[in-house]
Amino acid sequence: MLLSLGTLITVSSLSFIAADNLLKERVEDQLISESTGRGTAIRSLMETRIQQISLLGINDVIENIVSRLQQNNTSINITNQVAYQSEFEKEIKLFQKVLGGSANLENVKLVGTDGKILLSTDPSENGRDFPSMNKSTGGSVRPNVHFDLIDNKRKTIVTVPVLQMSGNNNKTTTNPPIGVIVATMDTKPFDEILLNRKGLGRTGEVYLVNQNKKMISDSRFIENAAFHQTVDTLPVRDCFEKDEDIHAIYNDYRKIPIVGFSYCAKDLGLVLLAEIDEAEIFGPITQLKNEIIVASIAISAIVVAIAFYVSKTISKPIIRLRDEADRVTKSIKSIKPYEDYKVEIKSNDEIGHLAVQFDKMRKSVLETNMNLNMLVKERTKELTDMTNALDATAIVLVTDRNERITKINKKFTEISKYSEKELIGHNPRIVNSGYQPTSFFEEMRKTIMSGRLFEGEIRNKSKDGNYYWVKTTIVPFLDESGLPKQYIAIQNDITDLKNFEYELQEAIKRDKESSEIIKRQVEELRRTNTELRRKDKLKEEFLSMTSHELKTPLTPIIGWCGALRTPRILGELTSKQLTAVETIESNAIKLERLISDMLDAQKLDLNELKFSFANVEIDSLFNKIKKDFEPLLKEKNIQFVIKAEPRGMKLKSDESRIIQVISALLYNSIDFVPKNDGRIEVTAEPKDSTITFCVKDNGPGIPKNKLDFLFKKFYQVDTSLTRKHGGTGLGLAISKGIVTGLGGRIWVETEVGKGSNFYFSLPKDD
Amino acid sequence: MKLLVIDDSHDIIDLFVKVLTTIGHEVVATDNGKDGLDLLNTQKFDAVFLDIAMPNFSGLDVIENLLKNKKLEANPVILFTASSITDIEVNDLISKGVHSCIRKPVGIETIFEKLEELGNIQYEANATRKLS
Repeated sequence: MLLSLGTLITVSSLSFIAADNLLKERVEDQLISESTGRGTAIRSLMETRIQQISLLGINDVIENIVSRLQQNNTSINITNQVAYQSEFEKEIKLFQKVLGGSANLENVKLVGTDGKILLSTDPSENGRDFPSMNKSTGGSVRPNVHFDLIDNKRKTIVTVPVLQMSGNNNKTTTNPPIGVIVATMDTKPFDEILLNRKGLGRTGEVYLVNQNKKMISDSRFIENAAFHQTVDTLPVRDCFEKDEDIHAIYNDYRKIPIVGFSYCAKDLGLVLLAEIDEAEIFGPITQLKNEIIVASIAISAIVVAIAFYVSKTISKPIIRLRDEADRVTKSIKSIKPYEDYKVEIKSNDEIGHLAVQFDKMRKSVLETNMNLNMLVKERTKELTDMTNALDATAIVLVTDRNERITKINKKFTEISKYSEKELIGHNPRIVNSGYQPTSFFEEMRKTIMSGRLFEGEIRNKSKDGNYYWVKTTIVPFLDESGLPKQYIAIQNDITDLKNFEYELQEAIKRDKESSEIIKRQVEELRRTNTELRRKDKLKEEFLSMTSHELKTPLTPIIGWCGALRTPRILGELTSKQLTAVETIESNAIKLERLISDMLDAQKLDLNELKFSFANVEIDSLFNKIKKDFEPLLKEKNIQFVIKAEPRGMKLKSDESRIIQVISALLYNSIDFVPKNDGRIEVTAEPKDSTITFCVKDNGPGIPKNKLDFLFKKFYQVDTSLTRKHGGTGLGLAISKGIVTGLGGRIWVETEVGKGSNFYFSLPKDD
Repeated sequence: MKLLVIDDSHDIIDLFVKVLTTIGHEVVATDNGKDGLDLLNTQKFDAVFLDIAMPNFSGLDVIENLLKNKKLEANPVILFTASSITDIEVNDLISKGVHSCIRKPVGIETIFEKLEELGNIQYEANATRKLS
């Protein structure tokens, strides 16, 4: 009898321990996959974000904007700022298109090395201080992702440096960043990973804690916990102090005992915790334990009471009872419907009652066992649900320890274009594109076979020959001896990102090539230019030499004529001799004028007319002209009036050039006024901001249809007059060149038969 | 007046010497800048007619040396040139102490006027000296 009792207690305890262990193992397995799976998913997503925004950091438009804005930091005018703003917003819009819907840029700002916001997609922030920027490092930041509250909403904030790419290729590593991009995005993709509580029962949750021991994601139990709730628990301390993952039973932030697993990502400044209340896990077992204790006490009491009255005659059913109990023990272990093992004892005495009691107790044990089975099933289902959630967001591939594919999800078949049948049982290298070297995959294999996590970007080739890029995380699952028993690869399609990166690099390369071509062309132009300038100089030198060689022999000609005309030098000449000398002299002077005019006309052509600006007093200028021309006009019997009204007019110009223009106009008029009663008048008067000069004659005037050609080279109104009027035909063209060069204007007012008025106006200042 | 003519054209030297000595001036002439400079370093002249474009030793070389030896003040130099020297360059030389510039070719009257102008200064300077 005592043996039977012992067996009963043994059976109960065994079943309790078996259930307890089974449950613990299940929960552990589940929480490991909760923390590791979601942890690597969070890590992968954070790194994806950095990679995405880093593309902006090496975008040459952005880089250009940042460097230009920083160069003229103090003197940006509003127009430029508006241009930069629209250029920046355009670029961000374009970039958003590249990113697609999965990453939503809510705000992007460029921060200078001095910690001021240079440009933001919210223009009201422009020019403000950006407080989080560490000024002492001069904008030197490592790319990072963190979460923060903005307007009481959780946001993902990605910070990457802007690097100067132009110039040589290796600048990215040597140059300090010229600014920082701060991108604000929503946390939805992160929450999708964290807040999916399908596999977590009634009390389980997954959340993130940062190094300040603050919860940075939502709590299942406390409203508005993010950034308010402190989580100073064992796994948080272990992560930030020792960089260790743990699994343990401890009190959580609510001071409630929980079973928890951590995924420590100290490098990212956070730890992920997956926790389920201890009570929920061990509730059924505690209940079972209590029931067994009650049953044991009851049975013990009954047995002791009966012991006094029981004789050998009733020992037989007891032995039967013991046998049954043995069978029940077996039945619990193999879990079969309990009806098969109903104790068949039909008696109305105490033993009969005992049998009934025993039956009830056995029933209760088996029911508990069934409940346990249900719980396990439920957990298995939840695990499947979680896997489904992962399936929906990522490409998943599972292999056994020999790298044979055992499971793939739909996304894998979609992207690889291979059917499940073609993949299961094969090595994953079926999708290898051969793009990356064998050493890359050897390194990967070494990592995962030693039980470590592998992360990397792989270019694969689908069945239809297309290439695609995946960001891959391979998690090895180890058996009891610490060797991998299977590998799970979680992949994200980053083909678009990679293509964009490639296009960007190609564009940069093309830019460089075209700038090389431009450089060569500029060099060629410079050489041509130098050559042209050299030729111009030769031409100029030839001209001035010619002029010198022509003028030098004229000097003694004109000089001796003057000496001949002067009686006290070479004696008195006869009037016939005097006329001859005067003719020689006047023609020599004309020749000299022709040479000077030709030289000036050539200079005009070469844009070589030079001016020396100084203060010019009109009164003194007119006196010089009067002195030069009065004798000649008197000799020719031409009435000459020269006056400047009012007196004391001044301007800043080139006096000798003005004299040259007035002289040319005077020679022109002298040639055309009638032999008798000729009249020439020279005047100057202020008009607005100019002084207008006028040379007025009573010559024949100029027909309207000839006016267009008047200031052209070698033009005379009547070509048959050329012989009669000995002008060079250059005076007016040169005058126009000089007046234009002095910033003024020359024109003529004339009518046939009524004389001509030649005007030119010059600015008073300048 | 005691005059110096430096010009590589012998016809021009001939004109100056014959015409100016006829009206009572003392005229020394040379056809190269080197000899001209030697004369200026040993004698004092009331006016110097200096051509610019001369082979080997140009008028500008003469002026440069006169500036170095500080002889430009004592000998009024009149540039007498057919070369296309610009007004800017002429003004620069005048600011350094050159008296004036006459561009070839020119009527004999202009030479006479220049001498009268210089003679008057000379005369007045003498008068001042006499007074003091």
